[in-house]
Amino acid sequence: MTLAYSVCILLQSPFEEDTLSVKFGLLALLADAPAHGYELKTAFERRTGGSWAINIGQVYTTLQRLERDGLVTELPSDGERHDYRITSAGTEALGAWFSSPVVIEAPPRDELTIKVLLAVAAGDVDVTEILQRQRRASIEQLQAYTRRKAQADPDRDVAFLILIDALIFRTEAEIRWLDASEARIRSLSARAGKATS
Amino acid sequence: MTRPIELEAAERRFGSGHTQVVALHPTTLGVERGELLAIMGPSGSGKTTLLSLVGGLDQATGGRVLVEGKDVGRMSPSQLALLRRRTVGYVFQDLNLLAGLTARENVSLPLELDGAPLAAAQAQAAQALESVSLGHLADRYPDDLSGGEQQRVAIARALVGGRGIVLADEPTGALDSMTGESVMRLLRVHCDAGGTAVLVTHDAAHAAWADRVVFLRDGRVVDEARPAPTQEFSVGTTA
Ligand SMILES: Nc1ncnc2c1ncn2[C@@H]1O[C@H](COP(=O)(O)OP(=O)(O)OP(=O)(O)O)[C@@H](O)[C@H]1O
Ligand SMILES: [Mg+2]
Repeated sequence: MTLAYSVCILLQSPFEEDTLSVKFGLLALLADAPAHGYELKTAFERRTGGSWAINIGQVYTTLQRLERDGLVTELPSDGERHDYRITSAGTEALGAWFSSPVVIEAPPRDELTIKVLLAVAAGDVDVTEILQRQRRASIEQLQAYTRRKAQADPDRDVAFLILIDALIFRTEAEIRWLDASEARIRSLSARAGKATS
Repeated sequence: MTRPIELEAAERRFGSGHTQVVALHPTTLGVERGELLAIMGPSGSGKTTLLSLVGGLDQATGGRVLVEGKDVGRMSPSQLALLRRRTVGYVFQDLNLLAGLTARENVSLPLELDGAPLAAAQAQAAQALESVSLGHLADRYPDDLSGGEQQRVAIARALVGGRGIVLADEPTGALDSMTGESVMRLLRVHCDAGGTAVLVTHDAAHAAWADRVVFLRDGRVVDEARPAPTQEFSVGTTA
């Protein structure tokens, strides 16, 4: 597989993940109790550990789409409040969503992956140095997360802790990938060294 | 004030001539009191070598290693034994608890070797096991403990008797993430109370508990990480 082809794969496939999460996030909240737009906005933000601010416009467009698909329905209004409630089709869709694992099929298409791929291909760039600079930055980021985590209360801040664990383990995975990339490059140059000597 | 740990161009070579291996090139590194230092690097990069020099388990072939201001390379065997019993606790890469002794006896052994009365040593050992949440398993033998529990016994043994310096070689290697995290919290507590610790680890999430991370490659320190100055981070619940 050529490098150009790899980079092409990395650059395609736009994400729909965000809109999906908001859609099912609102459904999950409505499964608890009927609510209006603003209540949904604040509850969504609270349940995601304060990490995910959504604007009220996004809440209303999502509610409209859910209503169009028959997953929620608007309750008779007293003129001021517009409460929504989940339908049985909505409950079914939510159950299906919770029970299906999230599979991330698209290869990572972030700047870091592309930078390393291109640096390896370039030949005249010190890849080990690029990897180490990134490793240091990632560890420093991890240290910052870990300090926040150390201060959190394991009983009161569960949403926060689950969220920060997600950040920590993703960063850790990135560092493992840096380590693996470096090991590959080292064994490649060791073999190349043997071949020429 | 002297630093608890000081390497001055410390070097370790094995063998000679054609087959010589430089496990650690001349390395200068200081560890502050209260500091938790993590060492990371690929397999064979010299992490265990560095730690054993500080623990007095091995001798530098060049330069000096000072622990609490004293040159470890000039210590007699009995002074080294004393250093390990009173000043430096060591958690080995492969644990080595004594199979014939209970958890409590494993922990009290360094104190007894140091001449402490049996009852006092056992009481301190019980307290050290309590501090790693293993008080209830004090009478178990190592074979009847899980890997994570054995790991915590080894840490209690390194901490017992108020030794100020803990050296830990991959203490979280075989642990799941929550148990590994509890080990890191223990080391953090030790350092926040004025102790000093050096931790070797492959695990970045554990290294992140340290105040400073030093990277070794091919026997040399190649880089160092410290926490970024307080970063704004948009998560609200703990505020
Ligand atoms: N007694 C010895 N004789 C010869 N070479 C040795 C000896 N002890 C260690 N080495 C070599 O020194 C280098 C550093 O070893 P060290 O044990 O410090 O690595 P490490 O970073 O702890 O690796 P790991 O992550 O695998 O534990 C290695 O190349 C090793 O083979
Ligand atoms: Mg080692």
